Amino acid sequence: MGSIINHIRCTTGTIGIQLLLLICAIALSACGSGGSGGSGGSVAGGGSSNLNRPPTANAGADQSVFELTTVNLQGSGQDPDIGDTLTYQWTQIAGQTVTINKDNMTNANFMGPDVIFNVPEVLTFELLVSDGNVGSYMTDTVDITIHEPHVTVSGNIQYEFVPPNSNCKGLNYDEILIRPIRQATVEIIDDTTGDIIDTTVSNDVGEYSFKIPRHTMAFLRVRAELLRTEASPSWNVQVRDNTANNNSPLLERPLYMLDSTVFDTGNGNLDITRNLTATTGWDGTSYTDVRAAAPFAVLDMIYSVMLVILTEDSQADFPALDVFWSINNSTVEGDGTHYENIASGEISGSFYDRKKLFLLGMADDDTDEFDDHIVVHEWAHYFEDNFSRSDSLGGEHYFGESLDMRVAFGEGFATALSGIGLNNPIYCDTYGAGQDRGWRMDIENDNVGFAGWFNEISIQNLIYDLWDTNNDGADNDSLGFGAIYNVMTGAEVVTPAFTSIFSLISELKTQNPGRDTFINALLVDHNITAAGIDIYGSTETNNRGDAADVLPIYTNAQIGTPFEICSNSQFDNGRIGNKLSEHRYLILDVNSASALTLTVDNKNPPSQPSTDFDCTADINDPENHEHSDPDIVIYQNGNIISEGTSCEPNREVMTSPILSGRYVIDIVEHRYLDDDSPNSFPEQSCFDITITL
Amino acid sequence: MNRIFIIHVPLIVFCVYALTACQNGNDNVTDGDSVSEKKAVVVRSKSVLMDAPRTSLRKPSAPISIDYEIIGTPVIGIPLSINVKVSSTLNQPIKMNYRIIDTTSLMFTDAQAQSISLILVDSEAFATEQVTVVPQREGRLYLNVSAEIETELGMMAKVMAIPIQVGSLQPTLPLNGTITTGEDGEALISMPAKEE
Repeated sequence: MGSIINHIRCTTGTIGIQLLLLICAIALSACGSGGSGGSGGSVAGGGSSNLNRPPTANAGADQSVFELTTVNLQGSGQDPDIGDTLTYQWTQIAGQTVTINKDNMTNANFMGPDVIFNVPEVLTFELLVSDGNVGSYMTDTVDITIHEPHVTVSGNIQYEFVPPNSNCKGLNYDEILIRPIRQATVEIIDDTTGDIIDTTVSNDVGEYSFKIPRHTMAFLRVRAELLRTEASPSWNVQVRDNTANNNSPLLERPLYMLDSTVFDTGNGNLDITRNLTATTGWDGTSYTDVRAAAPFAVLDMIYSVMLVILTEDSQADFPALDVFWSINNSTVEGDGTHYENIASGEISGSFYDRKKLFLLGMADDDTDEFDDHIVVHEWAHYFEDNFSRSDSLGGEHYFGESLDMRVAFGEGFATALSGIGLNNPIYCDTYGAGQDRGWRMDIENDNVGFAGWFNEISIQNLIYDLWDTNNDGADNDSLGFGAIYNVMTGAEVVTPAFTSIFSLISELKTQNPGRDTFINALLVDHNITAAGIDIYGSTETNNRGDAADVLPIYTNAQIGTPFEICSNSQFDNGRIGNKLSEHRYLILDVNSASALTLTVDNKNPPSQPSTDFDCTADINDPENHEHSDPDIVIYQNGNIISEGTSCEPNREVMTSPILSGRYVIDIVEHRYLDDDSPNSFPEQSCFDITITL
Repeated sequence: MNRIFIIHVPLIVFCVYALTACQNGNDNVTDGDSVSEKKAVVVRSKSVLMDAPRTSLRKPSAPISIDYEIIGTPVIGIPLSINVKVSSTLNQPIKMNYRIIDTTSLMFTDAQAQSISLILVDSEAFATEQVTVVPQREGRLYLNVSAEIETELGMMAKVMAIPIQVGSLQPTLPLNGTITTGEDGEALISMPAKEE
């Protein structure tokens, strides 16, 4: 409502000016009233009782009305002087011009103009009330907001989640849970034009709401997407089908959408509720319908673990992640022409690779969309890759194996983070006909294989125990996730050593000096040497049961001093190339900047190249796979500085760029990661190494 | 890993190179992405295409390896033998289960056991079991194998689907929804919601 202010003429007399001003202020305050419309007017008449006093004006309350309807302006005026006759005049002072009918009456009207949807227009009108005396009038204004009529469409979006049976013996379709689809992009689309009318994001209980035009044929569309890019924290996760439109580039494969049916928004008198559920497609015995729940289940697992990261860094910016899930993603390893053929879904297993996450989905074979620890395990690789640093070689790995320490650390950390992120230590993997089989593991307690710095189970136990507050055995304290997060996103990123349990623990101990006893007890419990631990594992004594070529973890290389080192495939029965003792590490300090020549010669070559053999001439020559082939890679702070990876038989000679500072070097027998090398190739390859200026 | 190719290996390598060239690398996981240089590790240095997938970070599996060798050329109606080779780092019996999801495409012979227990003589050695199936149609057919082993953690399993290509008919991959396009031409796969 517009305010009315009576202007009072104040006179001076024997009262002091300051007192007079105070009285005036009190009088003005008492007479004024609040409102959005301003008022004004001229002051008329004198200050004594026989002078004319101005009228009051009231333009009425502000209004919010629909377009193309008659709008009534209801004004009024009063005059304190008996005998004065009041006149009225309405004038438009702002907004799209309209014609005012009866503009000299207290009650006028006009036709509301046509406005754009969701762009309301404010028209301002002034009412002038005059008592007929010269200069004696008062004004008041009123705002009329014109809207296009709308209807509110709101509701909940959710998905069906199939939990595992007890002990992870398959999925339990009898106990399907309904969970909200959180933070997903929701669109409302004009079915006639295909245009997106409006876009919003569901909240953390899956609610959404739109205001849209009346009489619109529309449908709702929920994108399998977490998208927040305008401010920190930010994220961009999309779930796509890698086997659909598979002639197009991977990142242009179709994004999953959950669509409602088309509905009429009506005349605006009734709000509309539309609750949508992404269902499993399960009919009681098999998947017979679209498996709409799967992409949203995956999206929600990822959101859950992102929240854990956000508790440590509320402004975290998550680099874009593309998730690929398909009902055709199977455990087929391919036959050479289909090796990890992403377009056909023959991906072998769920995996992460460079901001892309691939998940199994073939029914009756192996589906991972409801195996939340597997999804979060793979997401943890994304975390390590993007927030921390991963030096892992990747590749197949089995629980309990003796792995390259970089692989053991990456995999152990990922499984630990799955338990931490889901606040559930029971890792579960279901598979089989009707998804009726499965196996489980307790991340906190279980162990298998030879414990130590090379066993991913030891690593996952240790990291989980550093986090959890459940006391058992040596695990009688907790550092919380923050301590682990700080090291993983800080010192671990720039460690001059390879990323391993040694680099994590060394820095954890530095940053948490009062927790040495607790950390040491956990290390000992997992057969890792605690005393004097450093980022290189220099004091480690666990050589995996006196296995050859395991210790020392790093060999200090001296320029000009030849030495011997052996690569050993004793723990690799599949030419995977990621097992303990296959890759041997060197530390090299270059005190004065210089280029170096590194020569690695096999001490006892198992074979000699035939006359005229040229490994570069024909990639199909079987002889390529027969001879020893040492490789050299030089790293500094996790970055590859130079590689010597020629195919020359029995030796590698490389000249580095100019080096200065500390480097770590990876020496490996390439035949140990060559599928086609013969079984007769020796388990151990020993090399003479020289480094010269 | 370690599939045993019945086709000549060099030919396969050549085909892989050729196919990749044709596809402009569409199925390379690095497609459209800024690839961290440090990922180009030694394992990619020689036979890049064959080794590349190994650098992916995979979900953990049971301590079991499964390899296979298809004996002969798959033909409709003709029994086809597949040598399934299993090994484990654990010296425990392995329970092998064989399944066919689409029984209209592939059948077991009457004598074929669908579940069998293998005892590994040596934890490093492969045990070989021969499975015989009969293709019922052309196309890409699958024999599903699971190997289960008791460990200190309880039962763990390794799952593998063995593809059997009968003839040259390429599979038509089923869709989980309807392909459509968005306002700006974006490829979408539409799935119907249950509404209330």
